[in-house]
Amino acid sequence: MKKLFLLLAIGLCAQVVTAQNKIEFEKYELKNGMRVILHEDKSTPIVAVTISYHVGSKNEHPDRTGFAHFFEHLLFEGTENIARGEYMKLVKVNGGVLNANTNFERTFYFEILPANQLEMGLWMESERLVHAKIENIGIETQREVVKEERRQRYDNTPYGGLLDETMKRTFKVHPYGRSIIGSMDHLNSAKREEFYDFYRTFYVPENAILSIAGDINKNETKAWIEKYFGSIPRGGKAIPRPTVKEPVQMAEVRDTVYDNIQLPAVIHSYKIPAIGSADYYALGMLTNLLSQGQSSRFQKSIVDEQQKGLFVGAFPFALEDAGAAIMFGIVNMGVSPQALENAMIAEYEKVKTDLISEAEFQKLLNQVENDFVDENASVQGIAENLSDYWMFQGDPNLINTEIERFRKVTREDIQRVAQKYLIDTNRVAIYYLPKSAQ
Amino acid sequence: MKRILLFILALGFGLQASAQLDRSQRPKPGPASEIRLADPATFTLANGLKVFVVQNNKLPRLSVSLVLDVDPVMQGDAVGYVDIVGELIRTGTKSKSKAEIDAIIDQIGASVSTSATGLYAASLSKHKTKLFDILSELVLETEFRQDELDRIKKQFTSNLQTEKDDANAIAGKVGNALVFGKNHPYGQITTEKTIEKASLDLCRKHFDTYFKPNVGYLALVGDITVNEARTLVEKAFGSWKSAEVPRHQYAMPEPPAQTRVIVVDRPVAVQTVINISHPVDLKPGSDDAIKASVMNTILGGGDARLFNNLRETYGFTYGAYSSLTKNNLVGEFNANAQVRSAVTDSSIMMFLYELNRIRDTMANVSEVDGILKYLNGTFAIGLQNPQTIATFAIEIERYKLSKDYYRNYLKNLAAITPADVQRTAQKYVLPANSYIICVGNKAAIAAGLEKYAASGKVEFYDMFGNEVKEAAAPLPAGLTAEKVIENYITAVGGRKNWDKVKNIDMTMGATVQNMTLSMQMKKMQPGMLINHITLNGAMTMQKIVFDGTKGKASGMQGSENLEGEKLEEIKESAAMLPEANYLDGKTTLTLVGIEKLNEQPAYVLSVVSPSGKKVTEYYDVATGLKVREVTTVDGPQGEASQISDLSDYRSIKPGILVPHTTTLDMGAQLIKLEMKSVTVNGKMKKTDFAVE
Repeated sequence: MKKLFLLLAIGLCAQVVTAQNKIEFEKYELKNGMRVILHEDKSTPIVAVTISYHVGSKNEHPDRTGFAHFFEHLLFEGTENIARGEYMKLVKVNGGVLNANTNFERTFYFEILPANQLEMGLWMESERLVHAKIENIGIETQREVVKEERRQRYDNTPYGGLLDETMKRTFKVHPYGRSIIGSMDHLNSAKREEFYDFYRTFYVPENAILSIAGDINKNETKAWIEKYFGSIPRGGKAIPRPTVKEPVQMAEVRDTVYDNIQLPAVIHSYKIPAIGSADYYALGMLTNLLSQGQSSRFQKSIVDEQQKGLFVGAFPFALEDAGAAIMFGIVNMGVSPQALENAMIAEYEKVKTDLISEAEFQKLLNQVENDFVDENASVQGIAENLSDYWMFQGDPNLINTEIERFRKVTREDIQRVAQKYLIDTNRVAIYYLPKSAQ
Repeated sequence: MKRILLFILALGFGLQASAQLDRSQRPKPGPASEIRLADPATFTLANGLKVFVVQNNKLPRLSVSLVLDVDPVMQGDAVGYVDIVGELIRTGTKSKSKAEIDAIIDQIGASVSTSATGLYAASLSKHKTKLFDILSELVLETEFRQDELDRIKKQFTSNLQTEKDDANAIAGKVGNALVFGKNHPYGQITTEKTIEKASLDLCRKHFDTYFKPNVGYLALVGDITVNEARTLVEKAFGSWKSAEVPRHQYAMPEPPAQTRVIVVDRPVAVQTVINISHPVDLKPGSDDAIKASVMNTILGGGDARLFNNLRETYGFTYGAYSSLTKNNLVGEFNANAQVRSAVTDSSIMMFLYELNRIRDTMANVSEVDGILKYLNGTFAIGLQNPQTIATFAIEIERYKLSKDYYRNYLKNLAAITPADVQRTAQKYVLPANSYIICVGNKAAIAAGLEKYAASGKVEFYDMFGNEVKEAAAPLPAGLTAEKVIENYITAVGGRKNWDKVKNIDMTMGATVQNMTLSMQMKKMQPGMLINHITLNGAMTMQKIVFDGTKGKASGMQGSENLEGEKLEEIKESAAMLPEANYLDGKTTLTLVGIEKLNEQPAYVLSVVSPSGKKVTEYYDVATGLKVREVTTVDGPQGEASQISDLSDYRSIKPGILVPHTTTLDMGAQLIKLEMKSVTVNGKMKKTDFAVE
């Protein structure tokens, strides 16, 4: 329930591009500033009701890491008109499923319901926006639940702490360097009045996108949206957003982390530009070149031929304010982390020196095209993608047009961004070693 | 007049404009859409391969899945080779290396994965010819190579290595070995040694024997017409040769006769993975199949009873769930959660509470009705994926279900009653015949879990499903139970010092659920006692007074004169140092062995006192001090063990040692009693112990 967004997936989502079938949608804004997107698809009698608030871990106070995600849990507790413990049940007994996730930038709530329960879903989301009830009993229970979530996903899972350790060293100034799940200390310290303050600041219509996809009647849907959301007043306060810029890194950062693991891992994190920037698309193609599919450079050379890695992957994290390309490998038994790292570096060097072939380039384009179709295979996927495109790049129609940006990338661009970003001074290198080696 | 009218109109308009939406009014659902299930087109090739085609042009993509209906095999000392076969299939053909195969698949942006019992592939539909070309070559021109085998074995071995720190993987393996048994194919465990034994011959032979079209179901789903499908499949797989595939039968694994508790030690763990499971005989399509699924959904499907109890009420876990798998060989019931170490015991108690509740009490109609609506809704959500239609069709063929099985599913679902739920719970949820498997930090969790085992003992296993016998240090030659007691008497100050104790007054305190519990124990020679337990400094929970011959207990339920066994028990504990009386010849003492408690070895003594009271006592080998008492008491849930751990021994004038901390393990909670004050030979009168 209420999953933290699996971060490794973010980069992949962001790479969504378009293929043949155009996704039709209608977008508009309510008087209170709330943005609305509707996508009609009658093929199955279900509807996805989603609402995305432009608030994530990067909006947290440095002494309250984990706050945005903790708060997400509290918004399942109940409202003025929905008793504690009833929120989840209400969706369930009406034949639907619900969940939410929180990442660095936004908090996303959704219900997938039988089409005839759309009005119920809208009412419930409007209750969540205007009427959340934040009580001590809920806070204390969810505090324990979130701490268990941290233990389960981070502390008691091999390599579970890896992303936090990487982001911490990649972003020393920008809040992307802080943990989404938060520290135990901070989770213990969060107080009721702080939650209310957070709610009043960020959970306001002008900070939200309501995105609905599925078997809907547009006119009826619009009337219901006006009924349940139209009368909610604007928050009116300025919404604080981090303005700090991560300074350019001048020298390589190198560190060792010890954890309860058996096989060492090597992480390289390179700072890259924000989502939607010109170089981002070339960087996306570059990380695919390195690790998408079994013929990718890492897989073919390091895993299959040299057999130095059990797994090696490259993940582009293009976030709203900045980004990181994170390369991550686990050694095969008996291989040293140095040997794996040298093999990874050799692959970067190959891209920098030799222009990739036309065939390999065509492969990358085909993969990108395939990924897009898969991303938009469900109504909930479409609702979420439309919402994210609007929130982070200002244009939901990128769901149809972003592929053109990938198509504009040339082989030379891929080589150029490798030369520009995959350099020692821009690198955070971490050896993630078994505690037994300490 | 007109103005007034206008005014009233304006007023009315204004009122209407500011009329508040009544948000307490919950919207009513519109009319429900009928859920229609299309039948896939189907045809069979001459070689027996059954093909299903679900045309769906919504997206320009196509998926191909092949499922082979093959019985699992026993893999002897080479467990893992069948999984290796699955990997090998996509690593070589007669004319292509793995690198060449990978290049072809990636070039069209496709994905292809293979296993020993089938394959799954997907691509954009415009690449379908190329996709079928490579699939055909993988299946018909298969070649297994030694260098690929060596590489895969190395990967498998590295993977096993990473699993050593993966508590869920460990729980899964140990669970399989116990639930299905190592003599059942589902209970086989892969180790580095068995991987080593996997040879090219074994792999090849398995592939040649079992990978046959006549046991195969092939589903094509997506942007493709039936005619296109027929042409492609015929060309790709028409020449695939059929052959008789051997069938295997296995004895149905039985649930354990009584519940067992298994702990797998993972000293670095901050959480315990709890799995409560046992085998079930539940086949797909059987009469109970849908009913039992509904029952499991009520118990542990998503935010259900287990989730609401362990997560939403107690905050023990991020999630608690149960699953009930249907399988023609043997299914499994499993209830699971990951909980912080400190609440392992309480969590198991809550699991068992819920497992018993769904068996013992009939769920109310509204709860069952809500779940039926939920399952109705998720059925529709599942249909969004066209693959679902293909899966239904294959299941109907494979498990010989009625043609209308899924078309009637919603109707059959709607007919399920609370009585069905209770009956299937009683049949498929067996809390008294389960394996309770805990992977966690043994030192922090194991004590206290023995009460859930019918044997009263926790069993320790390694991550490969083998029992770990505690390297029980042999008892020193010549040691007797009497000597352990003598050593204890010496350790707590010796008889001489204890004889100087004419009376003693001890007050211990604990905090339980925000209440203060206080226990005062007074003893006076010869053999008088008062034990007074109060709550929040005022309310008497229990008071026992014993004057040396008569005893009386009073409390919130009134008072009673103690008689018989109870009186004898009090008499025994009224002695200043009761253990000294163990040597009176009337007490039966047995030295059972040595066990480790919190990593420290302790002698285990069984003590049966003249009153008939049985206690198991633990005496630390190094210090001689008593560190634990385990008594069996009758509780509302039947017989239960109660554990008292004694620690923090401190010296008191005139040179005696008294434990200052007593930890009572009450199952759901630990009560830590701490000494507040001890007075020896203070003011005390015989009349204080008068029993009216």
